[in-house]
Amino acid sequence: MKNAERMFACIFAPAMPLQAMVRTEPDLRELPLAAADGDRGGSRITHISASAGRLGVKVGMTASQARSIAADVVVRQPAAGVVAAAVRALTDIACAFSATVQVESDGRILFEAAGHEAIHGSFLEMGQRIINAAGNDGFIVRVGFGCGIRLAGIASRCGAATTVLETGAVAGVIAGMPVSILEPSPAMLEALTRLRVITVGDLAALPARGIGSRLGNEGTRLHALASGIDESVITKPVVPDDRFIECVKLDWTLDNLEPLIFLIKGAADRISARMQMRGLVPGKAGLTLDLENSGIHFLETAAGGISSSSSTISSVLHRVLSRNPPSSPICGFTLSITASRPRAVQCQLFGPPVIEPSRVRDLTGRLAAIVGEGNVGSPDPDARPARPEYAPVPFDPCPSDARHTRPVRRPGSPAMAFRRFNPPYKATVATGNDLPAEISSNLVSGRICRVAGPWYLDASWWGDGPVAGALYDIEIPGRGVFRLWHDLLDDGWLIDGVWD
Amino acid sequence: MPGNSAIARLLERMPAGLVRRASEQVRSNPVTPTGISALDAALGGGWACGRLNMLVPGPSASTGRTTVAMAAVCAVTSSGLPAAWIDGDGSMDPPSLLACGANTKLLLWVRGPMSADALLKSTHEVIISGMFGLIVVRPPLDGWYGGGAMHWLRLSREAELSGAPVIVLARGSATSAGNSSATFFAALDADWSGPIGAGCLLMGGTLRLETDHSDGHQAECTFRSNAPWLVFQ
Repeated sequence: MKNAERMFACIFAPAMPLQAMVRTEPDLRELPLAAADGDRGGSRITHISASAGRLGVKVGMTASQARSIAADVVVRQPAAGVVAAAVRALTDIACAFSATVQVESDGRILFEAAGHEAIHGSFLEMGQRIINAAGNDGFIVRVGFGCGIRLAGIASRCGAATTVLETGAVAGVIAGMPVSILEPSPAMLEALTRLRVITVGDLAALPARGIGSRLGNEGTRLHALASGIDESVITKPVVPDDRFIECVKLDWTLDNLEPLIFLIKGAADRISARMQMRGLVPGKAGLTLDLENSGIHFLETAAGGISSSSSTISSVLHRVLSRNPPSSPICGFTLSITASRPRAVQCQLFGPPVIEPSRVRDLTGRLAAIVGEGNVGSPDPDARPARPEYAPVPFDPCPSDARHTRPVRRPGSPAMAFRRFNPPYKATVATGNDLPAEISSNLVSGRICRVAGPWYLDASWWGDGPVAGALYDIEIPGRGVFRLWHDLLDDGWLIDGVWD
Repeated sequence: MPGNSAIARLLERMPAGLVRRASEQVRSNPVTPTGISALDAALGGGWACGRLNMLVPGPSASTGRTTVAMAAVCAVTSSGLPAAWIDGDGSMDPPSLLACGANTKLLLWVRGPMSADALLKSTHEVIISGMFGLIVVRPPLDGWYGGGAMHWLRLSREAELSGAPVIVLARGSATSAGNSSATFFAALDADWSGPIGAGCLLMGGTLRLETDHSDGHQAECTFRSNAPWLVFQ
């Protein structure tokens, strides 16, 4: 493949651990912040914010040294989960722009950018879109484009928001930059410095012949890069995951649901934005709370019952948490939402308006949080008059449902409806001529004036346990028409319901 | 005329809609057909939209309220509109609904039993969603008034704003909550055939009810319901 046909992009988030922490705790943005490689006083500072740098804090200091220089500096050890979630968020952004994405170990995201101009415009426009998308998710990123993944990585570190290293013009753009931008090994950097090769232009000016014998393979590779030649391509593409995770770790504990819900809403906001970018909608949510006493508290909501609105997700989780609160204070949480595909609405020209599927999902999710999982849906159209409980099937109205094919009802005569008692009432029944004659129960007592039945039911072949009994319709004067169940296995009587 | 101009000036100062001229036509409220022609006639076209339509039972357990509610669900879903049934006491019988001829795929069933608080919250969510052509609410067995009339007043206001007809299968003698109308049901007059015992069959019943609307409209209505095994042709 010729270089002109190839173009790769690199998304680079400077000081990624700091950005990951600020993303989950936006209040930190205003403070002098430093990331350390541990949580003790002797741990080393690895990244600092600009305001911490102005106070004299430097990378490599110990946390104690940093605090002695600047008492206000906030030194934190970034949680691995928080940084991983931030990298995944950037990966999602890249996945919205390309199908071939690779994640580097240092958190840089590489993707194939050639051929996408028709969708996203020029590379400069694409870069700006990526920066905007990342900015919406709380990141400050730089984007670089190059004919190979190494050149794309170099372009992303050039300093400008978007840098495009066009084939043939690479050397001119990066010639004045220090040679360290090519990421040589420490030994190679020392050798180049000793040879007074300070800038990329100095290296490119060296004759290609003899570089290999003097500086080895690494020297040859760096010289090619300095000359704008890069054959490296994506070798380990990631498979986009449909599970979106946001992690928040706290330096303090929360013993109240309200501030926790505030933080959960922030995480749900970020996940919702990531899903929208990839054209997905939330499906099933799981919330793992890290408890102060080293335990965890896990909660889950129904599949397909969540709205794409982050406020709905947080209110549903609020209700779930209220019903099942954690046993001790919380020092962090992980919100995981599995994505599902959005359903499009196909309206009909001559039919009634159709409910938008996302609104149905929103409503059923809210109702499930109130009345419990498995209690929201539609009556099963295959329900048959038997004794087992009827469970709802998912409520999923669609245009074709408007034309249903039930038998035609005789006009002007509604069908008499049965109302089931839940649970049925136990009754004591006196019989005469093998038929119920008098009944006594908490619900109704008295003489039975009319009886229809028995209709025998033997359902042992379809249930877990044997069911055998007889049904009767009985009328008690002034009290109503009831259905009685006579269990032939234990000779018990139940009032199943009433014709109402 | 000076009198007319004075009235016009006075009306300008009043909030819109508060005062109307006696000669002005009162805008009739929209209704949703009940699915029973005799009841439509008694109610002036059907269940009032944007109101709580309270179905109040008599002393008998068999009055025909569930029959009437299921007929309304059948009418609404057959026209392609979705309906909701909030089953506070868990008494809804899906085979009966199927026997009514309802399109169950267009029915959202919030299954009980549930607490009065959960019923009010569920009803609130369903009403404000604005998706449904009909909402049926059957309160739970205990504490159906759910903490007081204020909650039901709020639901009636929400129903008014959403424009959805809400049928409340009320318990006891509670009859009104804000913008609502009541329909009182007498005991069902059951119709049997054949001798007592295995040869006997429940054929149906005659429903007697009386409507009492907040606008002063009153009517009596009697119609017959058939046992499910006699309904389909």
